[in-house]
Amino acid sequence: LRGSEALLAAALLTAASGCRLAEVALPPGDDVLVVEAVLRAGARRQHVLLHRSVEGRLIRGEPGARVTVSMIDGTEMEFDQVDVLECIVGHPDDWDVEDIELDASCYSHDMEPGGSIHPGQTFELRVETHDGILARGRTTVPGAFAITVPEVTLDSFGSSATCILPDTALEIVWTRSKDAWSYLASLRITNWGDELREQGVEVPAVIELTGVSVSDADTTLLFPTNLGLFQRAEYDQRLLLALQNGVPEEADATFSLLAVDRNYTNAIRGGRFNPSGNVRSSSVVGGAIGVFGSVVPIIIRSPGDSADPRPSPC
Amino acid sequence: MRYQKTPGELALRPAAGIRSRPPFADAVGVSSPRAAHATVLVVLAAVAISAIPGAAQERSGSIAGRVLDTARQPIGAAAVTLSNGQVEPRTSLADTLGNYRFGRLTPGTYTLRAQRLGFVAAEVRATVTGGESRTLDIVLTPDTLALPEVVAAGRSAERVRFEEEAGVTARIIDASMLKTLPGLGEADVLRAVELLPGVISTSDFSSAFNVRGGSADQNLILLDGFPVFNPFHLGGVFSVFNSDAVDRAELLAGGFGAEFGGRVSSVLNIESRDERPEGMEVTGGISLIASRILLRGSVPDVLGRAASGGSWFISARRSYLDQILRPIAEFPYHLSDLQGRVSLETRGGGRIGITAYLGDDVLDLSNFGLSNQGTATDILRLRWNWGNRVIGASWDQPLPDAWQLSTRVGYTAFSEHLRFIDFGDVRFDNRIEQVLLRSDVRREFSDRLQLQMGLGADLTGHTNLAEAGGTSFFDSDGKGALGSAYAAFRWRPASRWIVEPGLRIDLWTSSDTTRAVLSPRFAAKRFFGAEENIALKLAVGRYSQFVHSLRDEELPVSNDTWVLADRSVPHLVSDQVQAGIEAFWPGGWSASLEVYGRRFDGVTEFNLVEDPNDAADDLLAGEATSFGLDILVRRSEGSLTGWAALSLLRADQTFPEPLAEGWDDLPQTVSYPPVYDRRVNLDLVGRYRTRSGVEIGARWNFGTGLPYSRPLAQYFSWRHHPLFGRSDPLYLGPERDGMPVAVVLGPRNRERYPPYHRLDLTVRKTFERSWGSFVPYLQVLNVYNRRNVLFYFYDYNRAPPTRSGFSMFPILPAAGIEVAF
Repeated sequence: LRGSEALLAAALLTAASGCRLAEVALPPGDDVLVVEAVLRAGARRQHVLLHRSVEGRLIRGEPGARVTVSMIDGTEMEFDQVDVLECIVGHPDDWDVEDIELDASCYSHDMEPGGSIHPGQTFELRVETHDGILARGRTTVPGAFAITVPEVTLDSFGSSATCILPDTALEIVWTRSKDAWSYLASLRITNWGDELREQGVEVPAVIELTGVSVSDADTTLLFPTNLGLFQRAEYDQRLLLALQNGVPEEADATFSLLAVDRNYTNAIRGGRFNPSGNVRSSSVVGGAIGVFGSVVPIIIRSPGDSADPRPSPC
Repeated sequence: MRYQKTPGELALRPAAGIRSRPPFADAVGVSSPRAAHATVLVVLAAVAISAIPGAAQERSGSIAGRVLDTARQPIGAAAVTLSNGQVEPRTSLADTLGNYRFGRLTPGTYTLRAQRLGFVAAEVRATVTGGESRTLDIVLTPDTLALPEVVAAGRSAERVRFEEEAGVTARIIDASMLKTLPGLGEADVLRAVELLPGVISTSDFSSAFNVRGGSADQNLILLDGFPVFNPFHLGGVFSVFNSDAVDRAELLAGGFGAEFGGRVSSVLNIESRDERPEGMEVTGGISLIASRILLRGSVPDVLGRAASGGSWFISARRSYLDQILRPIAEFPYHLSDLQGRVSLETRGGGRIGITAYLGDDVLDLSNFGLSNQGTATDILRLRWNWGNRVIGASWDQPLPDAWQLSTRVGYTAFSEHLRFIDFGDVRFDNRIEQVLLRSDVRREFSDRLQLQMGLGADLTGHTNLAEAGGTSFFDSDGKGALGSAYAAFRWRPASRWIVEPGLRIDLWTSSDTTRAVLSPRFAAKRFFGAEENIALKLAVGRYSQFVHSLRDEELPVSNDTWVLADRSVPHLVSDQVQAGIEAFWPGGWSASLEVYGRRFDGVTEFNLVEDPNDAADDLLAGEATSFGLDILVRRSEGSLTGWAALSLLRADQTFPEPLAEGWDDLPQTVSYPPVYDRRVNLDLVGRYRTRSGVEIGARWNFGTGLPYSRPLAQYFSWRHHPLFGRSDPLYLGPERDGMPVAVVLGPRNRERYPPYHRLDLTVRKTFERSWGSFVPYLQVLNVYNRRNVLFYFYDYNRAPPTRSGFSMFPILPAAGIEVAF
């Protein structure tokens, strides 16, 4: 309902675009340290990205900080500063954002074999900057869960499988992840094929669709029908309508399902309305803002019909 | 209320975030659905009992009747004096229905003299025998020679309240004034109400209003006494009330007596036209917004012994842009209203009224078909409709032995539905409906003592659902029964004093809780001056409310989403005190000054970080305070009428801070002024009538800046990529030159927008013709094009950072025409 209200507000604001106020220059904004840290159960490497509030197009970092994540029993993981590209997807040169100067600081920690981020554990984050800023956070990793429909065989880390998803709609069912606040589902599709393009439908090279299940007890979704909820105003409607019936057999699809904790759920669902931009609810306290959350992922890779050898159906 | 986030069973438990409970919460340990039914039955039985007139009839007689004008419309506030040369003359002031009554009369012949400013006084004689109750209507003719400028009905009603009541703060806008107050395209009663003292509006885009530091959902908005839950079109841009059908609007801004319940901040009663025309009349109009028509006429005297005639009207209004543009383009929005009323005068001096309203907003993008040619993204097809349904009947009846009965029964509902045409997994629905029954009885034991008491029963249900993508974001439904009883005395211990003690009890029963609130009310007034035209008054009272709207008042437009009090949703209790001075002078001048203080316990706010696994933490419960001063100087007679209203306010709210949970070294609560905390608000309202029939209306409003949360910085916005497990730019929210940013907000509502001011003008001229009349009008909103700030946008990702934004209405000229025949 809040979405519908925002839609109405946006429509009226658009109608009132003739009421734009004159632009005035401001002094620089506050210099705020921002923490981006989402622990990922089963991952061999954990990352913490530190950056400062923007100065124009410059995204400054926080080099030289001491970043630790500790367990309740006192076991401490020290994060080391590494190249920023270790922390991010792709390369800034490839982003559809111009003139950005990325100077954020990436810290990482390689886990012991088998990983030491386990479902149900509680972790505390501590960031101390070289100039004395102290930021803290606390997260409890959601409980372990498993996909029961379709039947999938996970790898030794218990987090991914490769099989062929059907090209029709399918109800995916999973077990409950204790204390998860939500499940974040994502579908990444490549090699869609040319049939729709030949009909004039705009089909991007990479299609990314997102779905969500709210609360730990909501453990079903209709694949791929329920995905793309947040992209329905973004993609060509005919593409989304085609997706209601399934993913084409020839396409490569990767489906990920994340059990998400309180902190990351709060970060992605947004806070109070503000016309200047998205407001994220911070789970970091002290001298910084940001997110210190945790997720438990399961990933199903479904290669298209050109895959060789071709995996078995899910 | 049951919140169900998922199909799974969720245990109900008290919200961890609910820090405070209003007094009397859970005082009654009944918590079964049966309790709701029992409450209603008890109340209904009591209502029935209260309607039975006193069994013991005295041997003395009585005379009762109504004071009417020549169109048989009641004349309120007419003074009726009874004398027979043997005892002290007695005077009774007719009520708003024109009813008067003299009881305990010894047999004999009496003279009744009725008089009222603007009418020729009339005398009648009547003989009373023992045990007889005589009914005698007195008809007054207008004194047009003596008073060429007809006295506004609103003035008389305010004066009646001044003379008869101790505590209530009542402000009235009558139909003629309403027409000259600029609305958006056409006259709008809710926008007119915003000009009264103690009332502020936060945005030009919304006709919602706040009274004396209360949130908008604390205003009870009534159409002929029946609640309208969301009285707005287009999220608040227009009200649902067709100005042609409005007789007057009365805002009770504080000091309500014990008879008022249901909301804590104000009561706004929109009264429909009730006068009886000689034949059938048609009134119509067209504005930039909508076209409208009203048909009204008299009910013929064919109902035998049941009724002696009456009046009726039916009005319709519809926006037309979608129809006009249809040949060339699809305009997806329209609004419509259908309203009607029948009023019957019963033979016994009573009145039966039936009011009905049906309104709809439709945003229909379902016909925007998928393009066969385009390569761009097509429009997301949707249909979104919302509206109110109201029907109610009232019966006001004088009874034997000096009792008067007033009974209302009604049904009101508001619902909203949003569907995406191509995606069946999206459902946004909300609905609230209420069945209500009220019965009040009143008796004057003497000139100095009057008793009023009543019973009420409401059955209310709500359903709110937000489903999309196979999951439920919000799912709540619930039912509740409210039984109410009150008694209040109006006592004149001396000629210059009015004292009104009263007591009200509200018993709320929902599916999982029962709550009782005992609300004492007290008011006193002391008159001064040779003609008792000045009065000091004091009112204190407790008020309660069992429904909340989740509407975010920081959004300039939005619809109400109502929830009911239950185990996890608090009820609202407000303790209020106000004191003031009122004065009336010759020439239609009046003035008042009031100071007030209010405390609210159980105000709610949507918990944006609620735990989806906890059904009970969707709302945060907090407390609020407000205090202020209202000054009104008004002139209601003569060619130049209007008022100046100055309001000073300081409001504050305190809520739990859920993000601090688990961090003991952080403050666990947050306090801030609400968005409607306008510290100084000044309205100057005037209407001038020239001898040539031109009416000029003007309104100038000045308000100090409203609070907002200032962005202190912005930062690049990332998400955790679900597949790759690393940070990925998050493309959510407004993008600044393609750069995704999130906002760092300063303390909530710490900053203030610049002062607001705006001048609106209306010019109307009535042209009389043999077939009727027509009134072309021109109005200009924001005459000097003041750029009042709606929002600021901060861009820190530019060098240097900038601030821009949107203003509210620019200069907006509009024209229209009204026709009557």
